Amino acid sequence: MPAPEPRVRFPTREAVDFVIVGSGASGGVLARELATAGFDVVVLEQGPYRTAADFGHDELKTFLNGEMSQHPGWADPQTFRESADQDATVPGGGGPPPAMYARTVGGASVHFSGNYWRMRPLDFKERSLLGPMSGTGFADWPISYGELEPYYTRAEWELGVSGAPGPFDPPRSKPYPLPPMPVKSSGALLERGARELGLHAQPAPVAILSKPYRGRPACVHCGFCMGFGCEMNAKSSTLASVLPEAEATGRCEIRPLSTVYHVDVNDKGRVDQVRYYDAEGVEQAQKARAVILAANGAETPRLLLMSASTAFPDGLANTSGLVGKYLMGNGHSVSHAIFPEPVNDWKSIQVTRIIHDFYETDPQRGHYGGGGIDARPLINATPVMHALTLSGGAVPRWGREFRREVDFGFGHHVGVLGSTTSVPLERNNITLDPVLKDAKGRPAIRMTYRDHDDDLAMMKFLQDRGVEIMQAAGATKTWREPVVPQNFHAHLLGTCRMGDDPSTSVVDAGHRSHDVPNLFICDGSSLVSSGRGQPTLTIQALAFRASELIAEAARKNEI
Amino acid sequence: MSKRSSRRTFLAGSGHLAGAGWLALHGGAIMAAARSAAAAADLDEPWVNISATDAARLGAVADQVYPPLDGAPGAEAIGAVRFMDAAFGGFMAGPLPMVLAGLDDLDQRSGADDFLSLGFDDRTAVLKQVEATPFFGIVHMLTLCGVFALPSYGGNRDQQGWKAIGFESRHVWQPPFGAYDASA
Repeated sequence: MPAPEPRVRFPTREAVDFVIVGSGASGGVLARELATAGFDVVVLEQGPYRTAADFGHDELKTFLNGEMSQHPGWADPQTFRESADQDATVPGGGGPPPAMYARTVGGASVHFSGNYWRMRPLDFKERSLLGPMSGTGFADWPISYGELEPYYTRAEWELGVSGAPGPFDPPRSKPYPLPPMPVKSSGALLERGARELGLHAQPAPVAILSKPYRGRPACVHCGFCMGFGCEMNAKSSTLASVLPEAEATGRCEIRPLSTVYHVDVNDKGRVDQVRYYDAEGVEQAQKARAVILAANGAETPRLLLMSASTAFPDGLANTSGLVGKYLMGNGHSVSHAIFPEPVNDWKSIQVTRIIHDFYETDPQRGHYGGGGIDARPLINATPVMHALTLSGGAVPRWGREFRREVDFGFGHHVGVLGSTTSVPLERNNITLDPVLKDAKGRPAIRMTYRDHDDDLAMMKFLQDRGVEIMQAAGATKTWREPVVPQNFHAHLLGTCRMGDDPSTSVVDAGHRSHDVPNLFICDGSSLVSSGRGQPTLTIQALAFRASELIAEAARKNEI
Repeated sequence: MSKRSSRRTFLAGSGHLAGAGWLALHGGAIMAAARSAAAAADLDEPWVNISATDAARLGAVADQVYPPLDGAPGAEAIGAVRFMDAAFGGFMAGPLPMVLAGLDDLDQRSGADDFLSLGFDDRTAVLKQVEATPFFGIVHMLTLCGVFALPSYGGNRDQQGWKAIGFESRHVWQPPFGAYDASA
């Protein structure tokens, strides 16, 4: 199935209603909602238009070559540093870039693992519940869980989510549309260990179809899931779900291989066009009544900072100075276990059981934070990555003992992941690298990040619990990855935070820029707090809600 | 998406992916390498980008990384060097001189003999001296790729790499997936 022929092509020199920058988790939802509401929409996506037929089981292309994460047209490097007093450098030695996302139609929703947690009421008002944290940007959201709940439900039902309620779940207005995915041995072992310790495992909610749904087939458990596009369209990416519906309206044009480099402001202080490089690398500009940035928590602030002008010398929509600040990535800690009988965690999806007993901040732990625990193969789900990364303590990582571990471990390994809160800190941010540029002269994304000590403590806490759970489940061997400050992030959150006060936030509760009335921002950058991991559902619920508010404003001619 | 805990974790296994990593590989080049590798996968085919001696030395190193075990073939017999030969004509062309120099260095470290004339344990002792070098890091990575990547890349002959770890290339699976599924 090749990329569909566009049903509509809009001229660039006539203003469409909306240009949406990015076709991923939020951009895809916004495109479908606004197109079905009757508006003309152009979606600019820097990646190519891959479809299910383009996805396969090739680890070299997917992981070692980073096929979906690299820019399709030219090198677009990123730099990283832990603190502002260091020189940021391009990380050496291969591996993913500091800000990890997919450049493809559907964005990171194409290659994500599908974990699909709701936030809870407390996530929206934890600052009020716990009090201030000095030196941080710890803050309440301007909206509540109750306001977002209908849109969580819409996301689950319209994208396709499999799950079952757990004992700590927030209130929901509708059950899950699909039953949970079949439990894997890793999930069963997590549940067994949890039961031994008085904890509560529950089926993992995932944006993957356990049954046929809305014209799409159920998952066939091929195992090439995290990092891969789904060959079945069973993963509920925006590519598989809402983008085809957006295009079917005849009012939405997805323009792949279109790399935006500037959002222009006219002399009335309104955005009026978006400039981009097309598939041939030629400069183009699309006029629009309003612009929505949905490019992710790294690319969105980069674009705003690149769009500095006389009217906005510090970057577009940045009079608060907070564009790019308060980057949150969620903390992650990993442990591993080996079991005597075959687990075969390389089959099917990553996660089938989760534990949310430690979701809330517990003052007795001595630090802020909460999180969740799940069992999964991690990057040991596929043969090459398993052999390259298995870290079971065999030193050196070659020779007969190493081979024994690789051979036995593939079928008998369970990874345990702890996912945690991230304290919002101004020092953690996305800025423009002052030196490094891409081949087109765009400043590189520079990430500055060091986990808050409480985040590291929470990561360690969950790792300890994970090891205990695996031991209680009968693991014959366990080991831990070091808990160290993280230097790359796939969750790119908080960099254009939402708020009522224009001096402490970038967008208002309706995702409208405080500074520019017809500029909207809706993606991971909008989040005020990080949740406990797995932010995609919240990003998409926000996109459903934002679409409604933006459409209403457009109908009233208030954009 | 992915929850790899850190780049450090990501790379912990392979040590040195320097020059062989994320951005150094290019899809088109990989596919070209795969085609030539598949064509040369037969054991009797001549080597394309390396000499027969280099192939033998690389095979000896590969068998140190992923040795024959309990009657199962090691990396060389599984075709890891065929994978490398193709890679050196494509996306690994850059590091080839460094790899060849590393092989010469192994000979120098092998005393009066050359590396190939040593027994298995003596080869191990020599490689321990260089296991932190980019040379070893690259050959280590290429060995494991050659054992476990899709057979279309020239290695993983008869899917023997996959058989060794119990992986089966099938598109569709059904529960139960493992021995513990029913214990939930």
